[in-house]
Amino acid sequence: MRVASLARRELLTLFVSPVAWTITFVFLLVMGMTFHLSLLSVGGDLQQLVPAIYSGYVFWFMMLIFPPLISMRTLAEERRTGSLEMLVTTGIADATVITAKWISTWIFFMFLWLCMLPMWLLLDGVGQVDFGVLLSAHLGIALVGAGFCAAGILASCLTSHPLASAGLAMAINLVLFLVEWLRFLYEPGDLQLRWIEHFSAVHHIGAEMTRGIVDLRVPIWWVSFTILVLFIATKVLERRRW
Amino acid sequence: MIDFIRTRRFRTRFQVPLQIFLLMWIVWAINLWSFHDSIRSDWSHEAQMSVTPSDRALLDALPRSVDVVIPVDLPPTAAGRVRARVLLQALRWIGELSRTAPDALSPPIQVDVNRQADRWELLRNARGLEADAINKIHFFCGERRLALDVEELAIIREPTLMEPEAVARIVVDRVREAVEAALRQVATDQATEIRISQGSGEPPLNSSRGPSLVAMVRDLQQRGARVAGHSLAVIETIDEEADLLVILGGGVQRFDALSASVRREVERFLADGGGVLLLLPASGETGLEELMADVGISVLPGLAAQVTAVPNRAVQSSFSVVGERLDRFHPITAPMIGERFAARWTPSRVLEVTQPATALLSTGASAWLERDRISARRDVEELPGPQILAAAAPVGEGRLVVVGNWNTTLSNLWTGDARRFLLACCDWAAGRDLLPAGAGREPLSFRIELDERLRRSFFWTSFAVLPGCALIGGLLVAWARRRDR
Repeated sequence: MRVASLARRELLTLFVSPVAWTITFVFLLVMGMTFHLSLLSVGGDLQQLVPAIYSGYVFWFMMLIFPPLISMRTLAEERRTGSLEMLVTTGIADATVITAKWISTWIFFMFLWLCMLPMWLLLDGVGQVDFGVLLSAHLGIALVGAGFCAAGILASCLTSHPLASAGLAMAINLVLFLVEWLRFLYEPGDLQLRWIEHFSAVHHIGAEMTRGIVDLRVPIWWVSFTILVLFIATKVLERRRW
Repeated sequence: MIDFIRTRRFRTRFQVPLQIFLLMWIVWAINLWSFHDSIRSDWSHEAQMSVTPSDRALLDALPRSVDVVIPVDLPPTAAGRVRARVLLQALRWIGELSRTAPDALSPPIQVDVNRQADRWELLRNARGLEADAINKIHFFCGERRLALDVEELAIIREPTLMEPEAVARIVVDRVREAVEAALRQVATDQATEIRISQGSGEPPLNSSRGPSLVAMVRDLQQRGARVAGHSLAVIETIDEEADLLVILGGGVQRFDALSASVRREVERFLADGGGVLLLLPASGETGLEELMADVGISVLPGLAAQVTAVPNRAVQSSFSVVGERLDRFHPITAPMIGERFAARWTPSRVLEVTQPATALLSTGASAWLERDRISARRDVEELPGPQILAAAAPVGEGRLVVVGNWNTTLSNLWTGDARRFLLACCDWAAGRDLLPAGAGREPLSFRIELDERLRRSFFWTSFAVLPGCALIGGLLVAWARRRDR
């Protein structure tokens, strides 16, 4: 209950700040441009449009940049202004604070992606959109985004400067993104390659979920990774009591 | 008090890393479990990547592990992109099957021949692949090998010279059926024995100089057959091991009609369950006319002729005819029923077919039987189309296929639908599973027509309307905040 009310408060704070709307504006402008150009490049083939949009370089740039930008102020700013001390002295558990902040960040992140839904509905009006593939692609974004947002929260716990926090979160996300590049060292069938595919965000979204393939391994990895990172973030927040 | 704080700090410093380590271990254990036992599902509308119980049964039944290599080098044209899509879809499907049973089917190895020339060279040497074995799916099972061409995986509508490139599309998708049939064939221990009989003075089967049969022979070998030459004019008996006898009733050099004793031997071979593919000469007889007549196939005098469009928008009559009408029910032609089947043969004899034979392939209505072999000029009394170009009939235990043209077997003409048709004839006559086994499916089209109006409305929605909404939202928030102050 406390988590929900705290998350609501966080979301409200986010939406009444001009930063959130600026982020939304930039996001929609860049993704709208990508959407339009991708539609032209696939020649109107809506089946190819989903992988074209959700696994290109622009997509990954947005995935790597936006979760740290959204989460950078969550704890770093509160710590810098001293409002974090006030929050934790109210008797709210650190885990509750971390969870609420992560939920609000993740909801805002998903809000950005769902803002693109009108474009898909517009296309569905003139053709046929494969909503099953679109759903699995968004599930992939939600899962990978959950992990990236958690990394942002952890980075925000570790430093009191929002920009440093964003930089650290981007570094963590970049490592998760670059795992995919290790695949070039191995041949199909190698066990190492199978493990790389197990952890690679690029493989999960680009090769599977934007094609409609949903593997139970993907939610298991990203949910467990998110829980682990949030747990570490909680312990980092608790550190000041030691 | 200080001691208490110290003790607590010490405990915390010890416990927290332990807790983190424990959670990491749990995460690792859960992922290890899911790594080995996972559930996959296809949420797409067509669910083409769903592995069914019959697929699992097929994989379980494979006696040995099958390896797959896919070398790709396609031009960046619209037709090339469609072909690449077919190969990629096959790659993904084989990958899905491989995930289900990694011991039975290894993950497919894809090689970009253009970019990974060294890797391709290594792989080629290791697997014994020819330099031109590209844009095919190669299956390896022990010593056996089988290759699938893009044409076997899908029927592709290719643009003609006068059409825009965008018309290139997949008409019938047979990836699943073709891969299934290929796995079944490559894993079986029984190889098809094919004997090819040519006229005298023809180049050897493996000769790559001048007009030869090397492309056809390689194709048959890549489909798991053992091919050898067998001159019926010299050795009148047919090898006991042979499953299929291909008789080329024509050639670059001379072809003499086969003797009566050869005819009797062919009859015996058919009666014993063998298969014969007879490719007719442009003129003259093969010596097997009596045998054909017994099963309802006779060769009419003259050649098929047709009016053909030429690039400068003119038309001309020629002996180049297009076989486009297929029998809907015969096992050879049923899988090929689709849009725009076009096997061009230059020239072709015309057949007359009665029961129990079946007319496999015929021309359109614009063709006719030209009795004057020198020039194709339509006269009133000449027999109008459609003209039958190929027929098949069961003969005792065996199978006979007669085709009105022989020179499609030459390497420079061994392409397209004509090649596909002749390969299917070989498979059927040899009593093998047809490749692919099923009729495939027509893929759903998710393509929209991007007209000017749609482009413009989409441009404004993506560039202005949605970002504008966010901008207005931000301005409203800023205004509200300023007013509250």
